[in-house]
This record gives sequence, structure tokens and C-alpha cells, in this order.
Amino acid sequence: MRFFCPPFWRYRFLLLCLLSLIAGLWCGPAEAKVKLVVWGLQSGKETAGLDAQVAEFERRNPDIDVSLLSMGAGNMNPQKLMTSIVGGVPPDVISQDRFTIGDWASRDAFRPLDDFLEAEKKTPDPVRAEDFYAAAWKEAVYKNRVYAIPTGVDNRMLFYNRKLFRAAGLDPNKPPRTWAELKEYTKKLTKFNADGTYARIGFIPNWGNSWLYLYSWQNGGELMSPDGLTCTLDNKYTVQSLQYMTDLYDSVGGYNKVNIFQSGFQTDENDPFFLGNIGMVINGSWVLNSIARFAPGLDFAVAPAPVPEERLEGKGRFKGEPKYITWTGGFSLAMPIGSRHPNEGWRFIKRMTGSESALIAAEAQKKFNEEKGRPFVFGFSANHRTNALLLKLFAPPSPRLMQAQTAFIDMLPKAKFRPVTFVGQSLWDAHVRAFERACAHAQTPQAALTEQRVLVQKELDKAFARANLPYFSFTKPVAIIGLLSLCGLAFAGMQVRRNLGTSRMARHEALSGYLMAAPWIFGFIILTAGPLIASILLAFCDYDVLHAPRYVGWNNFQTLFTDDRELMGKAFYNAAYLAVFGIPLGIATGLSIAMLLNMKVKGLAWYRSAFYIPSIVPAIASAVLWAWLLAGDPNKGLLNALWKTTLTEWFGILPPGWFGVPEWAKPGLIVQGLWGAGGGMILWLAGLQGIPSSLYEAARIDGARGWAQFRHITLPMLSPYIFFQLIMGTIHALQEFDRVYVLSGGTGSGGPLDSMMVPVLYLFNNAFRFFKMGYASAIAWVIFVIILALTLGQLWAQKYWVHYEAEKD
Amino acid sequence: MTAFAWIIAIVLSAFATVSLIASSISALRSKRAPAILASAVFIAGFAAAVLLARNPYWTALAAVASGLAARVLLRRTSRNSEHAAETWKLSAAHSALIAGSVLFLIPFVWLISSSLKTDDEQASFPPVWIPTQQITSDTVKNAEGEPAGLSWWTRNGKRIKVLEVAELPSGEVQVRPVDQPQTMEMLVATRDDLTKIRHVSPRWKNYSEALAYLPPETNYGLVFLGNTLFLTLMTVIGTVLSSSMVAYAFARLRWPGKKALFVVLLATMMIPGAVTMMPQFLIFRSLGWIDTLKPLWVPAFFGSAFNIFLLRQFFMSIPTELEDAAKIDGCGAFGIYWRIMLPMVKPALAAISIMTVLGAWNNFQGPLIYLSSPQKMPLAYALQLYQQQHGGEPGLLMAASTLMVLPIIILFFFTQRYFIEGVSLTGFGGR
Repeated sequence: MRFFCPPFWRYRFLLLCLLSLIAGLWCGPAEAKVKLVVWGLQSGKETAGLDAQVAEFERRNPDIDVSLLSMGAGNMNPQKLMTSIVGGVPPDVISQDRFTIGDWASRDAFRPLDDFLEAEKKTPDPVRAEDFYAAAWKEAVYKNRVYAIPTGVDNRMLFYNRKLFRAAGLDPNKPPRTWAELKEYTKKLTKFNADGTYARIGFIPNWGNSWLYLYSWQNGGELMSPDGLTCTLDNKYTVQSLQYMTDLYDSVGGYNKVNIFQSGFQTDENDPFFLGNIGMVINGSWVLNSIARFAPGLDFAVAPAPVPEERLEGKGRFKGEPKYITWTGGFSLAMPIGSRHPNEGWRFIKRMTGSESALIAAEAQKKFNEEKGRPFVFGFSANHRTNALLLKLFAPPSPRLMQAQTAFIDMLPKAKFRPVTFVGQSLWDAHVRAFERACAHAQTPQAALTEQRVLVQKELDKAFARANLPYFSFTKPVAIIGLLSLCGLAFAGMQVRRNLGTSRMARHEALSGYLMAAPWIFGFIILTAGPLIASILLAFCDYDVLHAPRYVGWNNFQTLFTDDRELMGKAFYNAAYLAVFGIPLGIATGLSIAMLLNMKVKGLAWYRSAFYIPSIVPAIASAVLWAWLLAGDPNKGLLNALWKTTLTEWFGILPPGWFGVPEWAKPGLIVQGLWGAGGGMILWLAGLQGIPSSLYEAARIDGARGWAQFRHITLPMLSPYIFFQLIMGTIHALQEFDRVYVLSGGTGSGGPLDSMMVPVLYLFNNAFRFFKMGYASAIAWVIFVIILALTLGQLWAQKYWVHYEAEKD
Repeated sequence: MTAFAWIIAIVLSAFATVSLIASSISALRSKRAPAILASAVFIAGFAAAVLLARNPYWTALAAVASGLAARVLLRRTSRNSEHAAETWKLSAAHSALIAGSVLFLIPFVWLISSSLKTDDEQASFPPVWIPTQQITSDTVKNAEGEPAGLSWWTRNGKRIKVLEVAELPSGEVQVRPVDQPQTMEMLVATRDDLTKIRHVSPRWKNYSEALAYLPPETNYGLVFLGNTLFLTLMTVIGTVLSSSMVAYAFARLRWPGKKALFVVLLATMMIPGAVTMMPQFLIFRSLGWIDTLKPLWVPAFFGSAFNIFLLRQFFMSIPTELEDAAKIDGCGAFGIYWRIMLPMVKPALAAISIMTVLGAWNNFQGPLIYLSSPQKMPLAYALQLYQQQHGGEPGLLMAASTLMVLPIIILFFFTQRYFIEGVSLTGFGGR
């Protein structure tokens, strides 16, 4: 018999398995040199400056080995950062966009740096707040504690095309200074084609980088109260600013018309400002680098962004205020909580934010650029002394660029910055929504801003109310669970005693049984039962892992069905869409192939492989492939090519844009899913082969053919399989995650207009991006209940349509 | 109007094709020379009409004519009408299957073809299936120090063979005619006037470049592969060992509480992973297992409810005689399980292993939650991150995808039977 191999071989195998289990759990020894892990600074092919900075740091600190993560967590994925902080394995230093610092600090995810700054005072070249632009420094201060040291800054000014000014009869040395002038110049610079489309547009209020934030600050409107408790998005001055933006859009043809023109804009050498398709733009200092590289001949100049008349005149509330203001942002280096090498990390931060390092970076980057034949325009440091040095040593390549670079640096001290608040992201999203709705005339500026203000305020209130919530008390539930488990154990023990046989053999067998079932019993308690109970408790908590959980009662569920109903509803709608169309189509495809294969065709194995292989392609690889097959750009992608030769040619319908368009994202997912229908085909084939041929013969004698046979024999006989596929398909559709995550952009965003937001993605975002563990648990239970209800519903409905052979026998 | 004509023509052509195939099969079977000749003529006629006319009306007409002729021929060469219908049906089935399997394999072919194409061919219209590259000069180098490419330059209605010497900032190209290499004249051509001279040649460099772009600490992606292999191996060992052992306990041993626990086991299959996801994360966090591979494979050693259930059914179906004989010989429960029962369910174990391999190889959510260091990432997660970084370079991305898919396809060809059995057994068909 084949089964009886030499026994030692089997035991060797078992031993091997155990050894591998132990080896897998074993950790390697620690390294001697300090490995400083830095995220957010990505070393690549173009980062000669950064590489030189880091190399110099390592040369001076031979005890430190800097590891810049160039993939994965390194690319600023907030989910990864939070997971690593929560998991106790954070990077030592992180480069973060400054406006998010407040958010991280409010969650206690970053380490305050005040102790280091205090110790610095004794060193010869301390890191001092005075050396940095006030706005850049303050943006990283939360509740009077410094959480990050700024590295770079950018700010925003008005770029204008002097050639177009001359052509329009405007003085190229007199850029618009006030809002009224801006409007007037915009009209003069805008030109239309014969068909009414734009040949050129003078100015687009929100193209470039200005947003309502800048207009609002110019008009004296603040978006948050100074104490950070109240959102003031709909204050009088901000409403006026939004009204101004809306009017400006209307004066050149309206928001929608401008948007259509804007959708054709490209970047780099085809930037519409470089090409003269737009006369003026408020944009960031980073554009100077692009101008030097892609449009060295452009006759442009920069000026402070135009302001309301009152501000320029210094009247009323603007008394003593600067005439012009700008908006600054940029990056900074911070240390996550739990960083393992804080001292080394601080040395790195100090070095990287210092002047000398900036000069080394500029030198190396300049050399790199010149080798590639590109001009070098330095980026601004947050340290004003460094900028002065840089301007002296690395003067921009042309007088025009020099003028612009100087003008930008001169504006930096008058910069405003985004309010430091943990609702920074919500505030931003809210202002974008208000801006879109007002400019498209869906709402008045006042109504749009008020509506959004209320939403942000709700979040603020909730966060502040959190501090007053009672801590979740573990004693009661633990006691109850403990008591219940004890009772259960006692009861089980009694049952076991009673049912345990008296013979030695029976006892022995029972013992073996328990031992052999132990892995599952243990796993069940630790990985299923425990988590299940924990999940119920969590659903009533507010828990972000870094702080002790607080009891919120039914609030999580309430939020789910009130404030977040829109997104939650969308997630389930999307899942239902995928299920309602995807499952029947998948069944139909698989069944048709199986029926063809069941016709006793030759080459069955070949066909079967051809249909089956796509279903074993890893979901991620399949998603990556389909993102390319169904490319959003109509000029790319295989299906688009087919579409263009047929549907576009015949009916003039353009390829739809697939995963980039809300209406077509889900059909795209369904098409991608159908590619894997070959797996189901194997099941159908097994089902079809199980139907006795005598049934068909009898039917033939009765005169039933084709459709009638299918309808009255095949379908009823397959109904248990259909039922199984329906149940599995539904459960699966509600837990869809992997491919949706990849196809919706790979950041958990949910695709265009959340058209690919599915329940588990929503849960994942809440659990591992925002670390609202309690809220996520509530979502999980809603998913569970829905799955349960659907399954029970199908079980109940099956008796009306599923045909089981056994009943008839 | 032409649109509908085309649709009708395509439908008619499909029918005609089936009829033509059926008639030629039937003619070949009949071994009558005139019949074979006639069917060849019909096919040639139809093909000629379609290819030459390129017009929906003629295509439709040719389809109807050749289709009808083929049907007549089919009837004439068959014994009776039933036999003719049978032949027609079979050839229809084959046609549909061939068309369908080609349709299913096209994305694959496209994957591999894209992975071997240069960037300028990726989005060309009509699509290019066989990768080609521009022919380059052996001697002349361009401004970037690479061999200069050959092109046809259409100039004043004449075609000249030129070398592309340099790309100018204006977007134009400096060229040099091939037949006068020493010319001092500076010739500048616009891109539109240049047609690259190409030859069939896959760009294997996509693969090496795709790997070279990976962070150095991942050793050209070998680390990813190593991680995936490790995870797959551990998961399979864990699942097979523990599930079969537990299944045996449930199937064959008598112990109090077995029935109740079995009901619990069945019930756990209903619990969606989403519910236990967060608490499990917290458990692994408290063990200090974040950013390690352990949360991804250790749970496999605790058995999976579904596999336990399946294997229990298998163990139940094995007759008790063998077991009794072993018992008499003094073999203990573990010995019986290990030496007698396990070998009996080998096919089931193989099928379960295959399904587990697939699951572990493709696992994405787990790594996404638990891992952040590149050195610890498995292939699936690495590929997704790669897409994020190199989405604009389809050649490299498709090469990377191919590398991830290939091992699974190879595995399939060697263990096809178990794949098919695994699907039928577990019922996990579609994704």
C-alpha cells in the first residue's frame, strides 16, 4: 500500500513543522549602530539635494545609520503612520505637511519637542523660534507646545503674463492691486473664440493655488475662533469673499463654463499660463522652478495677490494691518510618540532644519540640475537666515526669476497659515464643498457656508464633549463575562463528568479528543469568541487606542444612521449594486460556459483551463491589470480601443472613463469580476454532470427540447447550486475589499464621488486610518446583521424555489 | 445606419462561420472530394468577400449566401437531418467556446504584451499586440548617449531615412540622414513628420527595470517573494496540520461536548471577518506583533472552521475497520490519525492546500493592516504600492504584475487536478 511510507519520514516532517513554527517566532539579534528610520523623505532619482544632506549627516554622525523609507509607509500614508504609532513601531522622525501637525498633536500621536528646545538653549547654535518665519513656526504649535520644526515654506502670489498685458492695452508694470482691479483686468484679458468658447481667460479665481482661504484672509475673515472651539466659516467677511469669487466666475462666463475650459489644462511644458491661455494666476512659489525649466522665455512678473480696497487703504478693521498678505504652507520634521531614538532623531531634525544643511542640499541639487541641463531655482527654507544666504549664493538664473524670487521671500513675513486644529481636514473639505456649491449657484454663499459650518462645528463639539465622557468601566462587563464563563465552565465540567465513560479507554479517548481539538478550541477563544465580545463592547465606546476608551452608549450607531447616513448608505448601495448586477451576471457567465463544456466537446481540458486560469490570478494583480485595460484616458486601454472602433465610430459615444467616473466605476468592477467567473464554472460543471441523463431522455420522449429542457430540468436540478452561489456571492459582495481598494486609487478614498466606497472599505478607513475603533466596530456589527438577515432571508426563500432531489425520493 | 448594418452583419457572419465550420467538418467526414472542395470554396468566398469589401452590406450578403450554401452542403453530406443538426450544434458549441476562451485569455495576452512594450507603444491606436522597438544605429549615439533611433522623415513629399540625434526643447527633433553621416547641416524635423522604423523585439528591460526601481533593501524584490513564500508555506502547514487534527477529533473520537462545540464551529463560519478585525488587531498589538509577519500566519495554526468541517466529512466517510485494526495493535488516537487517517484523505488535503496557497499568496488586507516596512511586505501588497508609484509606466507595472501572477500559473499547470478538485470541494469558485 502506498500509504505506509517509513514512519520516521512522517515524524521528521512533523518535527520540521514544529521547528518552523518556533523559527518563525524567533527574532534576530539587535544591531549595534543606531538605525534612524525616517518616513516622508523619499529618496529617488531626482533628489540629489536630499541625498547629499543625509550623506553629510551620516558622515558627521558615524553612530547613526539613516534609513529613508522609499516605499510604502514612506510615502506619507496616514493610515500606515497611525498604525505604526499605535502598534508601537513608529519611525523615529517623520516629515509631515505642517497643516496636519495640529491633528496629529491633538491625538497625542506626536511627541512635543519642548524639552529638546529647552536643552538647545545651552548649545552654541540653538534651534530658535526667532530664526524661522513666524507663520511657519506657529503652524506646528498646538496648545502652546512645539510639535515639529519647519523645513521648507512656500507662499502664494499673483503671476501675470506681461506680454498679454501689453496686447490687451494694460501697463505691464501695473498689476492689479485690488479686487475691483482684478475683476476689470480679468475681463480685459479674456478672449473668446467665434463659437463662444474661451481662446484665453484672464484669471480663474480658484485655479492655481488660492482657494477661499486666501480670499477670506484678505478680507479679514477667520475660519476658526482663536480658542479653536468654534468654527466661523460663515462669518460676514468670508461670505463676502465667496461672493466675490462667485461674481468673478460669473463675470467671465460662469463656473461651469470655466471648468470645462479648465479640464483641458495640462502641466509642465503645456501649463496654460506658460502657453498664454490664462493671463493671471495666483499660485505658489514652487511654480518658479517650473518656469525656469519649461518656460525660460516667458515674460512674466509676480505681484502680491490683489486685496479688497479697504485693506489697501488701511481703513476700518484693516487699520495697522499689512496691505498685502500671503498664505504659507510647507513641510516640517516631527517625532511620533514612542520613537525609539529621540536623541538621535533630534540631532537629525536639527541638522536638516539648519542653514548649513540647506546650503549643501542646494549645492548638490544645483550640480545635478546643471548636469541635466536644467536651471536651478532654490526652494525656500522656513529659516529666514537661510533664505538670505541662499539668495546670495544661488541667485536665480535670470533677472526676471530673481525679481520673482525676491518678491516671494519679501512676502513671507506677512503670511497667514491654516488654523491649527484637529478638524483641519474637515474644515478644508467643508470649505471646498461650500465653494463648489456657491460658485455653481447651487446655494448662496451664505447658505453654503452656514451648512458646512454646522457640520464642522458638530465634529468640534463632539470632540470636546469627548473629554467629558465617562471612561469605559471594564469592571462590570469583565465581571459579568467572567461570571458567565465560570458558570459555563462549571456547567460544561458537570456535563463532561456525567457523560465521560467510566472505562479507562473511554477516558483516554476523551482526553485525546480534547487534546486534538485543542488548537481550534484555543483559537476559537482567543481569535473568535474573545474578539466577538470585545467588538460588542467596543461598539459602545470611543476608542482611539492611544487613549483609554470612553463610554458613549448608542452614539456610534446613532452617528451611523444620522450624520454619516449619506456615506454609509452609499457604501451599502454600492455593495447592493455590485451584488444585484454582479452575482446574476457571474452565474449566467459561469453557467453558460459550463453548459457548452457539458456538450461532450473535445478538448474539454484545454477550454476548462482557459476559462479557469483568470479566476486564480491574484486579486491585486487582476485589479492592477484591469485598471490598465479599462484606463480612464480614452486614448489608452484595450477596451477603449475596441470601444472607439465600434461604439464611437457608429454612435459617437466616447469611451466612458471607467474607474475615473462615478457612473462607470461599478460597471467596470463588474466587468473585472466577470473575468473570474471561470471559477464558478467548475462548480456548475460538477452540478451539470450530476444530473442523470435519464431525465433528459424522458423529456425528449415527451417532446421537450432546448429551452424547455433547460427550464424544467437543468434549472431545477441546479437550483441547490444556484442557491449556494447566491448565498456565498451575497456574503462576499458585502465584504468586498481588496480589488475595490486598488481600483479606487489605493488610498482608501472610495473612488470618484465615493462611487466605489464599500462597507468594509468604510470600516477599514474608520478603524485603521482614523482609528475610531469603537465606531468601526459599530459598522462591523451593522454589516454582520445585514449579512445575517440576507442569509436567513435566502434560507427562508429557498423552500419556494430550490429543488432538492432527496425530497422526491 | 451603418452601425446597425454592422451589428446585423456581425451576427450573420457568426452564424455563417458556424455553418461553414459544420459543413467543412461534415464534408471531411464524408471523404468526398467534391464536397470538401465545395466547402473550401465557400469559406474562401466568404473570407474574400469580407476582407475585400470591408462594408457591412456586402459582408451581410456574403454571410447569408455562404451560410445558406454551407447548410445545403451540410445536409447533403450528412446521413439525415438529425445528424446534420448535431454537427451544426457541435460546431456552434466549439465556435462559442473558442471565442469565449480567447476573450478570457485576451487580458492575459495583453498583460504579457504590455509588459514587453516600450512606452511609446503602450497607448498606440490601433492596439499593438506584438511588441516592437525602434531600430537603433550601431555607431551613432544621440544626445543622451544612447544609440540613435532610425526613422523615416517625410520631407517635401519625399521619404528619407534619418537618425534621431537629439530632442530639442521645442519638442522638435534634430535628425541626420543615414546616407550622409558627415553632414554639417543642422536638420530639424517635427515629431509628426517622423515615422519610427520598428522591428519586432520585446523589451525585456521592462522586467529588469521594474525590479531595479524597487528600494535597495528589498534586494530586487526577492525579499517580497521570500516573504510571500514564507507566509504561504507557514499558512499551508498550519492549516493542514491543525484543521485535519481537529477534524479527526470531531469525526472519530468520542468526547463529551463534541456535538455542542461542533455547532459552535459551524456558527463561527457565519461571522464576517470585519467583526473580529479590530479586536484581533488589538490582541496582536499587545503581543508586539505589529509590523511583523506573525499576525498573518500564526492564526493558521489554530485551524480554520471551514476546512475542519470539510475534512470531518471526509473522515466520517472512511470505514472504521482500519481504525479498529490499528487500535487492536495498540495504536493511540494520534497514531491512528497520523498513520492511517491522514494518508486516506490525501486528495482532500491537497485540494485544501491549493486553496490555502491561493488565499495566502493573494492576501492583501492583512499586510495592509499590519505591515509598514518594505522588508516585510509580501508580493501582493508590494505590487499595490508599486502601482501607486509607477502607475504612469504601464510597461514596468505590467512586468511586475506578470512576475506576481507567473508562479500561480506555473503551480496551476503542475497541480491542475487539485485546483479543480479544490474548487468543487470548497465551493469557492468566483472571486
